[in-house]
Amino acid sequence: MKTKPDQEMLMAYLYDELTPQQRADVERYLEEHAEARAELQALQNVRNRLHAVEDKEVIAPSFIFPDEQARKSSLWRSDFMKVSLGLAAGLALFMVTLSLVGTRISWSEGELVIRMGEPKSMAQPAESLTASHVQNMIDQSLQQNNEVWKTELAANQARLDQSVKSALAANSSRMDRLVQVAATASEAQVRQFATDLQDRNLAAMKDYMKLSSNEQKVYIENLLIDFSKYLQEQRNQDLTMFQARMTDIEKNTGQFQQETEQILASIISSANPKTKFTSY
Amino acid sequence: MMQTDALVLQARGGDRHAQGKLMQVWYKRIYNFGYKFFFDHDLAMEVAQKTFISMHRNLPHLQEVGRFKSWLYTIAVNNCREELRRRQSRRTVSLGETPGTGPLRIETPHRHENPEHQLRQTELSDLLQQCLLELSEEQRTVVIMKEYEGFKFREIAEALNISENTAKSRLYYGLDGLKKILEQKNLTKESFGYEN
Repeated sequence: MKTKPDQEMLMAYLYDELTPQQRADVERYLEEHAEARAELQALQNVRNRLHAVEDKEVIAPSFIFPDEQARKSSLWRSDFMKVSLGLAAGLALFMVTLSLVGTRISWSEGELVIRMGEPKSMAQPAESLTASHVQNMIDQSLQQNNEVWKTELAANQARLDQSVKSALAANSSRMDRLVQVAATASEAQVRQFATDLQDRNLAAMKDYMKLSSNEQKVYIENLLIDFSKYLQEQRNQDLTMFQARMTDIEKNTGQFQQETEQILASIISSANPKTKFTSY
Repeated sequence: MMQTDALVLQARGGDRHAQGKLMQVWYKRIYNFGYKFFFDHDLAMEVAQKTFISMHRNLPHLQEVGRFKSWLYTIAVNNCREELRRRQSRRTVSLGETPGTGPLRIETPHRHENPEHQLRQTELSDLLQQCLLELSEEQRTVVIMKEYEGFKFREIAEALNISENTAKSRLYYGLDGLKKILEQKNLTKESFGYEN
């Protein structure tokens, strides 16, 4: 192949979809032309890189494909038909119910009247009934009510008084008994309590005094021992100090004697010049 | 493929079990085609669902059993295009927009089957998906069908109703475009962990 293979030929070569003859021609051209070889290699590199794209794992959903026949007749199963049929059935049921309870619906003079059963006639008021009659009837009724209330009130008052009296009497006797019992019981308990209290106080005082005298005795003994130790130690210190002083006095006395002798010797030597003394 | 042909024959005769089986066999491929086309799970699911509903309705009209694969992908591509048009008209999502347009350097000198490698592999896969999105719809469709779905040029031409040369030309420009995009994003050989 002398001419450069076109893009279509290169693609077919790249994906190995050429006839053997075509393939040989393209390869011969590529051997002779480095730039075409490089171009093809670059496209092959892109292909290699595209292989890094991974397939996503996915699970096929479980579709239920509808039957065609069922789909055609699905008008009867559509929501619209279901709702329409439901409304029609409800309306029919309502009508039947109304007819069973004998409902009458009428329209006259702009007024809608719905009746359950036969209409009933309204009782007409008596024509002879006047305002004074009504007032008298009200007064009589009130008077009767007042009398009944008074009677009931008196009876209730009497029952209440009787009940209060009997309750007071019962409570009074019960309180007296309780007070008596309480008084008797408290006198004996107070005596017993006082006796116990005295005994406990006495025992406590004895224990305290005993403990107190023992502790004082021990304390004084310890104090005397400590004091005697102190006196002994003080005496020892005084003796030591006295001895030291005596030693010092003896030393001073000896030194004084030596100095005195030296002075006397120097006086004597100065008085007799022929006699020579060597000092020290 | 023989299994698919037998299933298509049964399904075309109204066998719903065979139709379900066909869907089980081809669902993952159609989903992944949609996913690579949109780089979006929800859209891929929608496209797959529409494709198989359409398959169920139109399978009785399929004349040649051997053309089932091309026929199915024709439906899938049409659904993808329809969805793309719908989304572009709504202008809710810009598919050409890719986050992180700066230079990318992914150091994966060696391949090891460990979580870190898998994570990098996933990142790399996503980056390549974004590169695919930068191609035109026509080029992207051909690249996906050729590289990932294993179509012959004749099958691509059949499915997209174009000539074989057009399919090859779109693929050439698609690969060339990807080469430039990869260079622009600085996705080098080392990023992919192999030498060639």
